[in-house]
Amino acid sequence: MIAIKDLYSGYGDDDILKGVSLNILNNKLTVIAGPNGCGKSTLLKTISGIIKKTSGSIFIDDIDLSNISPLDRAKRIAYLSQNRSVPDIAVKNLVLHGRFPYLSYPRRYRAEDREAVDMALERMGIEGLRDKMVSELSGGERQKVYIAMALAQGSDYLLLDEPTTFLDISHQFQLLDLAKELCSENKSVVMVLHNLESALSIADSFILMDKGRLLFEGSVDDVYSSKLIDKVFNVEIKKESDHWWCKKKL
Amino acid sequence: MKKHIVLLSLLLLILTILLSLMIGSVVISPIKLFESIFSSDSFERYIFFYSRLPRTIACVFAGGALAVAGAILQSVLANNLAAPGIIGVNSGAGLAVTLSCAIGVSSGLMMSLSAFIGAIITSLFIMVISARLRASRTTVLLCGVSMNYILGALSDTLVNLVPSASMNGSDFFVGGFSSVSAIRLYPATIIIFIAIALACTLTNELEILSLGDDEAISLGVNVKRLRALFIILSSLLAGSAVSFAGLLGFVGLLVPNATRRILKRDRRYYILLSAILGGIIVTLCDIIARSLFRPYELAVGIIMSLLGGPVFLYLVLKRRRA
Repeated sequence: MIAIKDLYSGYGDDDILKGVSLNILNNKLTVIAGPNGCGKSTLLKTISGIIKKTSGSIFIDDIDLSNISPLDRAKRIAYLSQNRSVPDIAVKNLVLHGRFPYLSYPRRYRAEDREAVDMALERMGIEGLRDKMVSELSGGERQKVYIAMALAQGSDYLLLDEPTTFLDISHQFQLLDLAKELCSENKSVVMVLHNLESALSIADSFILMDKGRLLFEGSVDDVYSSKLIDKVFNVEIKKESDHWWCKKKL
Repeated sequence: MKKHIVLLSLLLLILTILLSLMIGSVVISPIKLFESIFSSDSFERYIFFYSRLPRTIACVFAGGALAVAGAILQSVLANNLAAPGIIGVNSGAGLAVTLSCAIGVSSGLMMSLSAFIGAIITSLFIMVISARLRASRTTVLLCGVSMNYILGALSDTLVNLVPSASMNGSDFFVGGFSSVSAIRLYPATIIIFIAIALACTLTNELEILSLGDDEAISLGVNVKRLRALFIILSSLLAGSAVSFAGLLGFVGLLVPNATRRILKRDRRYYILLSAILGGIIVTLCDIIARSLFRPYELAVGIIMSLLGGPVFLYLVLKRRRA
C-alpha cells in the first residue's frame, strides 16, 4: 500500500498539492479524476520522485520513500508521464531501458532483461514494432511502447498519467482491460483518467481531487452517491444497468 | 554484426594511421618507416619521431575527442545539430587557451586545464539557457552561434593586444596540426583516453537521458548528477582537443550523425565507433591537407569545414522538411 499523509508539493515556491492524505491500495485499480490543474499529475510525479515534496510523508509498504535510493524506488514504482519526448532510438532499446533500475555499473543488459522485454512487447501486442525507431511510430503505437517499458520495469505499482491519450476507442478498452488483468496479477495500478465514464466503470477505488486537495477517496458507488463528481465537473452522472453516463448539467 | 562494424573501423583506423605516418612533404615507404624506428640516426627517424608520430597521435585523439564530445552533447541536449564547435564550447576553450598564453602560462597540463575551464563555462551557459528558459532547439543553437562570435571576438582582441597569445598563429583559429607540440599533446591525450573510456561505459545512461528528465528520473537515474558528469566529460574532451589542435570545427557534428546512420537501431557501440570514426576522419583530412599542395600545407580545419559545412546544411534542411 502507498500511504500518503499531509502531502504538500509543487513547482518552485508554489505548492499545488495542499495537504493531501490518501491510501493507494494493493492489487486494486485506482483512478484519479479531477479538473485540469487540480494536482493529479503533481501527485503521481511526487510519488515517483520527479517532484520533491515540500512536506508530508509517502510510505510504500511501510517504508518511507525518502529513505530509499532512486533505483530502489524505480524497482517499486513505474511511472508513465503525460507528455513524452520522441527519442531517436529503437523500440526494443526503449523498452529495455525499463530494466535499468536492476543493473549496477557498468550497466549491461542481461538475458533475463531481454526476456522481460519480449514479454512486455507481447503483452502489448507490439512484437512487430520491436525493430522500428520510436520516431517512426504513430502516437498510439508510441503510447503502447511506453506502456511496455513500464511493464518491463516489473514494478509492483504502476502510475499511469492519462495512458489512454492517443489511443483509439478499441485500444482504450484494451488498455483498461490490461490494467484490470495486472491488478489480478498482484500489481497495483493508478491511472489519471479524464473520461469519467471509463473511470467509473473500471475503478476499484476512486480518488477525486480539486484545487490541490482531496475531495473523495473510496468506492465508485460511494463517490456516485456523494454527487461530488457532478458538483466538481458541473455534469450529471447516471448509472443505468451497469453502464455509466455522463452529460452536461442542464 | 555491430561488432564487425567496430572491428572494420578499427582496421580502417590502423590503415589511416599508417598512411598518415608515410605521407607528407617527404613520402616514407612502409619498409623505410619500419627501419627508421630501429635505426639510431637517420633522416627518416627524425621525421618519424619528431613530426609524423606526434602529428598522427594528435589527429587521432583530437578527432576521437571532438566526435565523442559531439555525441554526448547531441544526446544531452536531444539535438542532432549540437556540437562543441557549433554551440561555442570550442570557442570557450579557445579563449581560455589564448588567455593562458597571453599571461605566459603554456605548459601542457595548464593548457588542458584552462581549455577545460573555458569549455565547461560555455557548456554550462548553454545548458542553463536550454533548461531554465525551456528554449527550443533552434534557440539553443542560435545562442551557441552567438557565443561563437562573442568568444571568437574576445580571442581576436587578445591576440591583437598580445601577439604572443597565439602560439600556433592562424592555425589555432582554424584548427590544425602543423605545429603540434609534444608538451601540449601528451597530457591532453591521457585525459582524452580516460574520458572516452568512461564515456564508453555510460552509453545506456546517455540514451536514457535523451528520453527526457521525467522518464530518466522514474527509471531511478539521478538526472542532475548524470548531466553534470556528461558536461564535465564533453568539456574535458573538447577542451583537451582544442588545447593542441585549435578550433577544429564540424568533427563533433559530422561524426555522431554519421555513426547513428551506420549503427541504425543498435547503439551499444555509439561512443566507441564515434571515437574511432572521428580519429579516421580527422587523420584523413590532415593527410589531404598536407598533400594537396605539397610541399605547402593547408590547415586541416579548412578541409573539415569544406566537408562539414555542406553536411550541416543538409541536416538543417532535412530537419526543416521533417
